[in-house]
Amino acid sequence: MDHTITIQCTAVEMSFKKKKALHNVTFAAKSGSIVGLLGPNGAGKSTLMRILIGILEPTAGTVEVLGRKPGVETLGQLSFLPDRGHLPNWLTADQWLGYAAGIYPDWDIALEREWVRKQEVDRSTSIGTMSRGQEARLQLLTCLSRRTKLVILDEPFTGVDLLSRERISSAIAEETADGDRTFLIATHDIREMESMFDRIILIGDGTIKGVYDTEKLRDDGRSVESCYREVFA
Amino acid sequence: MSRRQRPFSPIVEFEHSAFTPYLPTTKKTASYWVLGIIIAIFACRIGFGDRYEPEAVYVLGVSLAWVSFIAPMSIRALQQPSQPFQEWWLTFPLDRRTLVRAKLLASLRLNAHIAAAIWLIVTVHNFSAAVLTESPFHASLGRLWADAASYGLLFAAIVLLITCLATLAPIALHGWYRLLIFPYLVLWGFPMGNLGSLLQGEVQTDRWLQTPMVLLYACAGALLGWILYHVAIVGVAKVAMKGLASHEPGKALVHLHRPASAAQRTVRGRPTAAGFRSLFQLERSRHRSIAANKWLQLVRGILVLAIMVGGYFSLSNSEWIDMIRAILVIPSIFIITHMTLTYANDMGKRRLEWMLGFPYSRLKLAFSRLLAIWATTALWLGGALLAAAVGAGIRYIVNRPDSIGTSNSLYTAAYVLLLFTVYIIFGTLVSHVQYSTAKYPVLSAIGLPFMMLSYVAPMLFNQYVLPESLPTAGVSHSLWIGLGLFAVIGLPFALVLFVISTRGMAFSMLASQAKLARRSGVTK
Amino acid sequence: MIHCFQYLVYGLYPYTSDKEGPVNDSMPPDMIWRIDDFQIDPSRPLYEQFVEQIRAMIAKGQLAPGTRLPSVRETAASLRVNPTTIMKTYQELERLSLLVTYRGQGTFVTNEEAAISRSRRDLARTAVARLEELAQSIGMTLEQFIALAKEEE
Repeated sequence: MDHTITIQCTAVEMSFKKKKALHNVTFAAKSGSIVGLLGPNGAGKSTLMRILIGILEPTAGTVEVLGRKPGVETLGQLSFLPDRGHLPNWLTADQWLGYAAGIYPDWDIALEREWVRKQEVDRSTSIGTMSRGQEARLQLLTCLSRRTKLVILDEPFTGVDLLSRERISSAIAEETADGDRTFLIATHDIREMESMFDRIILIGDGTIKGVYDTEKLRDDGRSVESCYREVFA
Repeated sequence: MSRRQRPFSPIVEFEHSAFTPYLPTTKKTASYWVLGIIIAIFACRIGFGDRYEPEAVYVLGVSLAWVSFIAPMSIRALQQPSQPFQEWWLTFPLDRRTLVRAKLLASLRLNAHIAAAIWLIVTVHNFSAAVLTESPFHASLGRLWADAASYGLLFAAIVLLITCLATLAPIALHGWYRLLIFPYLVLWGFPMGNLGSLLQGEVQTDRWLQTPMVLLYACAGALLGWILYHVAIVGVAKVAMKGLASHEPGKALVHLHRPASAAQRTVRGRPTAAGFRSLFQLERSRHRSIAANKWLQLVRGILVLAIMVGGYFSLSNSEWIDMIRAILVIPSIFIITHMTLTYANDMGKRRLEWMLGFPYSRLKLAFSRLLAIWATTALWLGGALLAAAVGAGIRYIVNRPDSIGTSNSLYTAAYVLLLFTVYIIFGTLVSHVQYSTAKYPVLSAIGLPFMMLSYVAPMLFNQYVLPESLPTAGVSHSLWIGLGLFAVIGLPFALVLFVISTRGMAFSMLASQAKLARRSGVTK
Repeated sequence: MIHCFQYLVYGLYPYTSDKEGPVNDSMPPDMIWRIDDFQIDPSRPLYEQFVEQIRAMIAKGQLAPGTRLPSVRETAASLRVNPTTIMKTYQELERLSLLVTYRGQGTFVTNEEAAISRSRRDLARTAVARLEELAQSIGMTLEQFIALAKEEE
């Protein structure tokens, strides 16, 4: 069990009825890195993330997250931001954070206060009336107020306004600085995140089309965007 | 009715296409329909045989059709504002009335198929019963033909009437029209009340249900339906569409004024529990926020007063037991459906993945919800019973009746309470079986019938288990033993079903969420 | 001598964060990087570009000697760049003696004149080299090239 590897997938397959959503997915993510999961719509990113979380079980292959098979225990050690998800809209931000503090065992009140301040979230606003950008920031800070080693974000930027997007990516950059947290981010917003990824995993039609270290890419004179175009266009 | 606009037809085609997959249009779907009808006929044969009058079975069919129209349509109406496709639909360059009419016509087509199928089933059953029976007292062929014709017309009238009624449902979400929700709910549950008496065959198939009267009902229903048709088109176009345009998908449809203070009133400061208790309190907060809705509070106030008055008047002659029954019967059905509704709501609002991401086993998650439902039920039903007790107490002080009841009445009341408690626990546990169909098909095959049964159980209780004579005759030993068996065998059984179902829940719900998203036009 | 005084001052006043605490006159004000300060080409190694451009800033005097730079963490957050890149940038600049880090106090632009003039010379050299390339591409020497530019119509 290598402690520097946070995620290890080997030959993962996932089939729904007759359709194969994922096949032969193999990759690894090192701890303290920011890994990008890039690919067109319907490539299987969300399915893969659900497998990593443990809400879905792969039909074949092995997955190791933080050294063990994904399940309820790993849920307590990682934060997950679902794609286009919503928080309970009958609560205010403060009430939600209150419940979250009780539900997540690794909640850190000090972190929560800091993040609420940095993300400029008004505690008394009702979640049902928040704009997309506001709710996106609240969801992110819910993920970051926990002392988790792995943070998985599924499309955190979809439909989010410019300034909220910048605040979100600032937060990600800051959190990786201490080397504790690993981020796995699925996104279409390549330009925003280009300079942040340590490694990118390109996934299309349910298979891995390529795994690249961004530094090596740039040493060869290619950008993340040009690499994406080459693989998918 | 405007037939001026030619672009009318494509929109009707478009709305029809939403239901076409379910109708017997292809060989595959047609064969499903035929298979279903055949199975239903056999079920009728076994269940009804020739013990029931043909009219009774027809009325049963009509009740079933009624519910199968109003329930899905109402749910669809509720979900409509949060469907992302709404925005596109609203921008079609067509008269709003044309849009509503197209939707209405599509529903009519679907419901007509359902009604026709049910009519066919009952008619075939009745004829086969007449042919196969040995009793000379069974209906004559002439009567059967008359019934088939008149009830066929009644079915048609019901299709028109109920479809138009259900189309009006979205109006009840805006402004003062919200007061209409209560009568609407009564209409929704109305046929269920008849089911019980029908099943026992107690219904007098006298002139009120024979052909001439049925024809009258059909005509009245058709007329009313025709009126409602126009009311629906004009009404929905005017009232409901405006509300849709100002609504953003994903946001709360009903905006609570100053929501922060309303919700904070019910939560004392910041919740401080941890772990499982937090899950429980989160779910409870959902119920509390529903209760905080000012319209619901208005309805609640009216109900409480009504119950107190009822309690006042029913203190004599053990009628208070009927009061208890009345309080328990309808809510218990809604409680059981509530589990399904909250999960469906979470799927529609895309909260599911957040909930599944909580670091607790699926069993704990489901159980926290269950516990919260039980707690809220206890509070609300308890409150209702208390209101009745207060009314009764006032009567006792002010105008004590001569006879309140016997010791048997007390046993009966206790029996009723226990019965419904066990039933609610059983029903809520078993309702989870619907989520295990993907992973544990055998289990769901076993459990689904019980789930279906639990929806009609209160009616069955009212008729079979708790007849009118109970308070005076007393609860027989067999009834107590029956209840005991139900509790001792049924509850553990339901618990096992529940526990196993939770294992497959995540998978099944995620699939449902994806299906829902795809159907409502959210592409991935 | 003035350096000793500054180090004494740093010793007396505890490390304060950007947002709170009074600004001492003798301590240079803190700064925050902005993404507009840089022109980044995503096809080339990022840290190389950051190093080049910060070096140019120091050479031009845009970053005054003794300026306290934000930490790796703060820089990564304000520029929205991977912290590893920033760390490498700072490390490289330290290797070039343009930045100095004092434990517990932060990273500062060097006060050393020699280092700054060395970086100025490097700036000049790269610019001239490029100019020479351009001149050669049209078949001239550098001096001819400059003369051509000064020519009047």
